[in-house]
Amino acid sequence: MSANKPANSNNTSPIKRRERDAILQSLQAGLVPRQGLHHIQVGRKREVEALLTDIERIVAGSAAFRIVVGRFGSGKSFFLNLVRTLALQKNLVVVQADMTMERRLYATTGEARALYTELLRNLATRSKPEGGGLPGLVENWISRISHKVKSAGGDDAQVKARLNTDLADIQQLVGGYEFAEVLSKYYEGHQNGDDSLKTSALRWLRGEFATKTDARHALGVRRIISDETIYDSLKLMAAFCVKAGYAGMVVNIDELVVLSHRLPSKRARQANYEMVLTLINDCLQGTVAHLGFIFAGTDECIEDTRRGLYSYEALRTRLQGNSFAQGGLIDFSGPVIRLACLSPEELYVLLANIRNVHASGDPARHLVPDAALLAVLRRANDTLGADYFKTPRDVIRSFVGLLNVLEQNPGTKWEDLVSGDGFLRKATTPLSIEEELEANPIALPDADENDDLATLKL
Amino acid sequence: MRYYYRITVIHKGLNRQRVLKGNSKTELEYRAQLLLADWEETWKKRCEVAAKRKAIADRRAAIEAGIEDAEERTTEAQQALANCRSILTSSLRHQPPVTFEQFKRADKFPEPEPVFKQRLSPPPPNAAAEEFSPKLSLLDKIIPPLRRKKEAAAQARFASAQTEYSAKVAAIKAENIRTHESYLRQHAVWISSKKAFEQQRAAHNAALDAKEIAYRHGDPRVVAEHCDLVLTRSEYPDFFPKEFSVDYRQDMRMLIVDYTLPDFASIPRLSEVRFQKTKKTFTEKNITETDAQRLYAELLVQSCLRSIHELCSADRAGVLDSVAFNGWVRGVSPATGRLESACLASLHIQKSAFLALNLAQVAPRICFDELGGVFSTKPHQLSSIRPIVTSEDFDAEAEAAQRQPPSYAEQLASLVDKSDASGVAFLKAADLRTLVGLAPETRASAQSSRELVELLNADGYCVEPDAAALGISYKARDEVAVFKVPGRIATHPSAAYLGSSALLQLMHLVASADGTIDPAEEKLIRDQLAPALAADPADSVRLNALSALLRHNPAQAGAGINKITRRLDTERREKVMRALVLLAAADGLITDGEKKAIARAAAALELPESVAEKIIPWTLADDFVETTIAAADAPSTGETIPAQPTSKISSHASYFALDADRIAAITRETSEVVKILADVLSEETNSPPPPAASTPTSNVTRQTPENNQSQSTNPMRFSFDGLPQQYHAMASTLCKRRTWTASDFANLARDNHLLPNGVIEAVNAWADEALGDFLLVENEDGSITINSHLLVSTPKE
Repeated sequence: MSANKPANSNNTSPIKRRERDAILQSLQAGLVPRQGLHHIQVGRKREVEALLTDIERIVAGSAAFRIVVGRFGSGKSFFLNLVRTLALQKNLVVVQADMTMERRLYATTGEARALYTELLRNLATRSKPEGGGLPGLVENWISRISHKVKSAGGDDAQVKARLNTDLADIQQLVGGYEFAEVLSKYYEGHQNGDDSLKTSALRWLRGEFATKTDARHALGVRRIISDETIYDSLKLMAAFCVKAGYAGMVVNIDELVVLSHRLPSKRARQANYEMVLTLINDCLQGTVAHLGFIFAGTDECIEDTRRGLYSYEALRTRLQGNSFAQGGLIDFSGPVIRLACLSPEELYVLLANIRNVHASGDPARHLVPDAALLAVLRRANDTLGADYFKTPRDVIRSFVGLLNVLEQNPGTKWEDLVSGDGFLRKATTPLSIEEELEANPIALPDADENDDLATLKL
Repeated sequence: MRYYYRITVIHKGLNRQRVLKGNSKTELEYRAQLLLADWEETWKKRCEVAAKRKAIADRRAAIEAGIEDAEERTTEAQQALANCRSILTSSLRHQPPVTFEQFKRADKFPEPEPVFKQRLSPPPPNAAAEEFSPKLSLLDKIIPPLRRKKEAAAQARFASAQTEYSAKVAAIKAENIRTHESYLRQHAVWISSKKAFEQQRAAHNAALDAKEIAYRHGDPRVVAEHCDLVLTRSEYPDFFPKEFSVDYRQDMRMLIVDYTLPDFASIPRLSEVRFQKTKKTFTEKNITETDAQRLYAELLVQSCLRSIHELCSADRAGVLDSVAFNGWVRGVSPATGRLESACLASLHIQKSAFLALNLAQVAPRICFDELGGVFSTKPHQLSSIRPIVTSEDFDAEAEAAQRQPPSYAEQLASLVDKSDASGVAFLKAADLRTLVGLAPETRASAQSSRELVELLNADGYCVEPDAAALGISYKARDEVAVFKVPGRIATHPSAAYLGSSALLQLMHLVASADGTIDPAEEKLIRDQLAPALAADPADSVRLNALSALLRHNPAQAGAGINKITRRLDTERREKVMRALVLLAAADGLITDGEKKAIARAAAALELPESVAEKIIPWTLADDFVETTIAAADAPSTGETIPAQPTSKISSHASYFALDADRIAAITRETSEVVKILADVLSEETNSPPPPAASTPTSNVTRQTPENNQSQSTNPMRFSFDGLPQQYHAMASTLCKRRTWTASDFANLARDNHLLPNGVIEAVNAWADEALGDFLLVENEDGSITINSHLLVSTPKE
């Protein structure tokens, strides 16, 4: 490697200020950025191409289903967010949520509806990449029709009628009638200046009504989005997005490990896996249109034959890899994309990318040389152990902090900071369920009330 | 015109009155009836409306009252649950110390002092008083005999009055004397009563002073009483039974508390009350069963910590060195259906260690476990545990001390003398059964092994390995260590001990695999176990005995390892394996025997084959900075520890290395990915995009230095190619101002038959594509700022 040419010097295009700030703030907080991921992407060309193919498929009117699998720290959430950025760029609507014990695919006591609510709350469009894009999406669609009718001399009643007509094909879907009715109520609320009616309509669309009585009282509709109907509602929403002028909808769900390693009841797990199977079947058979599902989970949550997706035979046969794809041969046609952990070299390139982002894409403004990247990695190896590169969060966070200090304190030497005591400290609390389970597998419900070695210290 | 008939119609309800006039009486009456009927109708309607309004208002009020009531009950329920969750923290506020002083009496003698009240004599009769003066008429004045007669009568009256007066005075005097005598008697009684009262009070206070002194000297009875007062003063929610007994062991300066805690059924469950407007009923929502179980467990743990905290904090005299708390619950056992008393939590802690804790910040259950507390696995099912310390233990110990030593004591003592370990005897399990008088068994079972251990415990002996604690069975030929634990018998080893003993056994398994345990390996074992040995003296005795057994009979190291380790989760098993590898490599050489022992441990730990195969090289690669490979004295077929890998990029002469070729390959791949992504994201290069074809309206271009100058002097018009047509007019208007208030923005949207959020959505999506950033920025107050710097027009032609 040349000492003169800085790493990753190909990426010299200027970086938008808001993307730069979003990237650096997220990384410093130990989180995956929601924007500008392409500036810090490292390798994974074939995986990116596979996901781009999926996005194209969704735009073209088909469907896609993927499970991104990798160890904690391998970059699954990063990958999900990268897909999200690409999807938004392709005029897709993206809904995203993390599964938790209170939010899962199948439930009978509101947890499935809670997942749906979270997904819709985080609905992102190109102009609302951070989420909360549902009002804009709805109003964009209404505006198009309202402007057309009223510019031609129509009145509110005619606008309403046209809204209904425009949704005629959606009304054929399950729950479509109420969906159209609620959108009509939204327009009515807008016309009458009734913000509470508008709010109620948005709440209904997000599945926030827990009882039919409340919905009937607020909106006059007799159905609500419930645990049993979230999949139908997602299909409905995808169809509506297309009506509103978008290319379709992508559903990103992270922390699949909750299903396998947090749910204590086998029955609940099986029910959720059946839902996953339904999604796979519908997407791969082309039953749904303009809709894609991307899940992220660990290797164990897929391959564990007792608790993981492989414990459900139908899923195992669909998800198991191509037997010919071994010894360096790959096949990304299947639903599963495996991400290997970052290697130390990949982490090195990542730090170089972060350095570039910090300099807003201008190599002349790089705050540290390549030797500093090497020193940071060596310090990480000494401080965090030889596995430091498998969970790069702490290294990245410290590196961003280093760059910030150097930026705000000109004249400070990076050597002093890197070798200082405060550099590189491990987070004391896990930031995700996967990390928590990785650190404390005792959280497994049937693992150990009587663990003889519970207090072992080495 | 003159009318002959007049009738006044009045309606009190409507407060109306009208006078009707007419010439025909019948006609007039008819008209009056009609008017009245009409007013009645109106009045009826008004009453109905008022009644409806009242009904609505009542309904609304009832609903509001119901809602308010529901909210109030919900608040109370939440408060009750919060109180349960904060049992510990609520006690951490500073409390005045409990002293015997506060029970001293300072009351005054209640009875009032008797007062002597004497009667006063009346005034003597006055001769000059009118009643004693003769009342002379004119006749009396003229006729002297009459005058004399009247004067004599007056004098007689005066004499009589004087006699009467004397008698009265004498009577009063006599009465006063009697009263005074009575007063003297009463006063004397009062004095003596008061003295007695004061003596009683002084005695009470003196007794308290004596108690205080006794307390400071550690008198067991008084210390117990003091602790009783501390616990009595502590306020708990109403469902706490607040029953307890305390016992102070002066010789050990230890307080034993047996505290009755509430049962599972009595904890509050209500979390929310909702008022259903349609049915006008209240629905109650309870916490889930799982939450209730969690809450209950937390409540028990917090009660334990709180009581210990209160007792330790209140120990002014410093008479406590340790506190043993046993939490008992009395309830119907779901297993047996009978009313039972079960110990659910037990903790024995040194006061100094406890006071060093920051209880405001601890997680109670974790703190409880770390302190060595024992807690029931299923407290909600009254699953009982064995208390760590009870008063009965000491009583039993005292009894045992007085009892005749068991018949086998001498034999055991002679075995101890013969053994190579101090204080420990080694026997085969079958021989031990025979020694203590149990029948030999044809087949080993965990039950019989446990009985053997418990029998020896009762006689003051312990066995290692402990079948009762580990759930293992002794085969006839298994060798065990028997020893006497000084002081209190450790009948229930701590959780920390169980882990330490298992580690000790595994380490001996590996260390002795090459036939000897050399000093480096012994040191490593000691270092690993040092924390456990320092934690609890009883545990330390057990571990030392076990260690002696394993040195005496290394084959015992493999006995029962499957049962001990099978429940260890994967990550800890890996750590244990790494420790075993380091132990094997301590002498610089891993022999085949050690490899087999490590493999055996890995199999027992159910590690995946892939991990088991690589654990040795992984451990050595990760954990060794320097390696020394030396030839063993004895010929060996063992695996030498691998040398460090070479590095291509290294900034330090250590094993840290990066592969430069790999970095270059990744950089190339990343560049390709960036290009792919850039194509998708339509990233702009450094050069500005080509301008659109000229039209009568001006084109939108990016701001560049070349066309910047034209802005200030020429009027600007913008057009928005690529933006949906319906938004053009509004976008143009928006660009005329830098900022729009929320209402102005909404009005403008309405004027253009658009919706505000839809405008932002569409315009920003277009601007992000065409201009590289959002054109409309939503501020926190709802106003919209226009990033007009993104738009620069060419002048109109």
